[in-house]
Amino acid sequence: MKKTLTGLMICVLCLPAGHAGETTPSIREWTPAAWYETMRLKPAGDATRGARLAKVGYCYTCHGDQGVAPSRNAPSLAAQNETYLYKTLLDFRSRLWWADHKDDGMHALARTFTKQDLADLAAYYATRKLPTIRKVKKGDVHTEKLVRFGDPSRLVTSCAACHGAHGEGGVNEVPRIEGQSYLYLKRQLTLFKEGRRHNDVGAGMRFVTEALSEDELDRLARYYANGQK
Amino acid sequence: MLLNRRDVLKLFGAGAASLALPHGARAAAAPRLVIVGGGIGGAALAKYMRILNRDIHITVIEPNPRFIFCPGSNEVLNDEVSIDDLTVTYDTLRHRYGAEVIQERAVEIDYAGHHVLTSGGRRVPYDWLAVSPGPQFIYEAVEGYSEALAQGDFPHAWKAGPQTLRLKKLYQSMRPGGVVVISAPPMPYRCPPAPYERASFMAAWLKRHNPTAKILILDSKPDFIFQANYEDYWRDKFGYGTDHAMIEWVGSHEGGTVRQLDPAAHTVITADGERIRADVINIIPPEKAGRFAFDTGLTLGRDWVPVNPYDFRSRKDPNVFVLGDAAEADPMVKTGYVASNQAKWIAQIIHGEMTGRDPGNPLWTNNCVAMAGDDYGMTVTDTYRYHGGKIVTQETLIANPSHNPHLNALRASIARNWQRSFRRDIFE
Repeated sequence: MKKTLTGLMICVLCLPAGHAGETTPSIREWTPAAWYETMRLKPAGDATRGARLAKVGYCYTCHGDQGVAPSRNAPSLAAQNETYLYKTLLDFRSRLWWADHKDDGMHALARTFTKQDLADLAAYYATRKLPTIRKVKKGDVHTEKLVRFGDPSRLVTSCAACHGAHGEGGVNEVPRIEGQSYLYLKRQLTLFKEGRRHNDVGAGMRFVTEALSEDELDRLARYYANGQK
Repeated sequence: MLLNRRDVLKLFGAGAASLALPHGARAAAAPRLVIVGGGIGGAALAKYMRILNRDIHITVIEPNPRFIFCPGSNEVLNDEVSIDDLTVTYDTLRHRYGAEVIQERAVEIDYAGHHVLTSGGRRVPYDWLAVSPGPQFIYEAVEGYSEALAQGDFPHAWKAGPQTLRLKKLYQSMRPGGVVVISAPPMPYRCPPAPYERASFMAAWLKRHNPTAKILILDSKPDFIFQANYEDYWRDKFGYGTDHAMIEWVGSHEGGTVRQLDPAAHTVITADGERIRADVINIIPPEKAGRFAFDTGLTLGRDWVPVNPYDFRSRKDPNVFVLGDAAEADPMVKTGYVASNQAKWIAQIIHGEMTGRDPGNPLWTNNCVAMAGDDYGMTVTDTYRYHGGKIVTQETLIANPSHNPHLNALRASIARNWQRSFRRDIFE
């Protein structure tokens, strides 16, 4: 008994300290069970209502009118996977997704919406059209390989297995990644690798990015950015 | 691998090498700027002076080895940040911006001999002197109040530090249903929305831990900045204006001015002669220019230091600039942001004098934020110009009261962001 207690105490001490000045309450990460239950209970989204919320919620100031971001500072949301959008907003609201101060705005805003609001916003952005992006030069052979086949020697699943043949998104919460800005994709991949973004169900993205080198992540970000800076 | 001086020279050029050297090794003929006070004004001046000019010798005279940022310190009261989070040192000024920091108190100016005398007996020579002492409190404006009481059970907590922690302890350990009195000062004073922000933060904490407690703001003014915003929020969250209000506000037109403190009876006496007993009394006294400005005759018989409104040279001596809260720079408000803008401008004036370049026309900005809660923020921006021999307000943009909860929350996150980036601007 005594041994167990000491062990527990050591564990408590091991917990990573939060950023100075930031109170980071411990938020439970997604287990597949919790996530499937959340998906099952997701309210049906109303895109018309979502359009109105996007306006009063000032979403357009960063994510652009119709969800096409005007700058590299925020991702485009148009034609994004609806379930992913809903989940992302939930994660910002609970602060499970909080990598650094850049996420403060999303945290502050997401807290002001109900779950129904979040579902409506997700429905609105999911039904917006993404402008056609001219296809640019493909990646190098190594990157293509990672995209299509992964790297079994490092237990790296191919990107396409989940995110679709062209990065258009997949089942459940797997987002569209094609056509986001390079800067955004690179930041997310790095945050996953460093574990600072940890809202991926079952630590899927963290598992993959941990095995990949910084250079590989950089090339993958360029590959999926498809010319978007 | 260790770099020697020659390597540094090869890599970055002579400028970098001379920056890395202690002051004594630099050319003796380098012009000297001495800054009295290492607060926001003084630190900003040292940093931006160095950014503009690599040759000038910069000395900061500041007795405290650390500086506790005042903006953001109300958040200490509701446990959102700690004093440590707000504490910075002068290491960056020393090492990144090559300023000499003398940890002594400046006591006297020898105007004729161009020297500042310090408490340690040093004579520090200057070509330009910038004085940024901040304000001091007029305790005697409230009869019975004193500096000793402020350091004891009646903290004003208007300078972040031990008093902030004391105030926090006092109001958080109050009996159930206790009363806090906040006496807000008349204009001008440092950071006009802060008493109301303080009341809001305290109320948020009390609502969770001591829900029958009350906060009474006794004001020496008839109105205050962001009044409509705060009253909106208080109505929404704290029953403002009802019989069960957690926050009450009494303006000077209703006799809210606090005239006297009876510390033994824990009672304040207002202009009306009303005696109000409270568990915690937080008197924020009126202010005037810091002691150093009075001791050195810079105030010329006034409460604040008269300056030339174009370049902030004091009326007493054109080689002495005065900036920050201590300067009489109406219609500029007394905020750290304004102090930092004055500092950046004075750096341009001095650089202009050294190089013969005309610094042009100044544009000063005040960017100021306040919060009512973590879901309600406010912002104000004023721009000032020099026109017709005086400072004029060019434009004011103020966050109007809004009932859009999303906008209010967004403004709160902007306010937080402002605090972080402003701290970094001055001390990194």
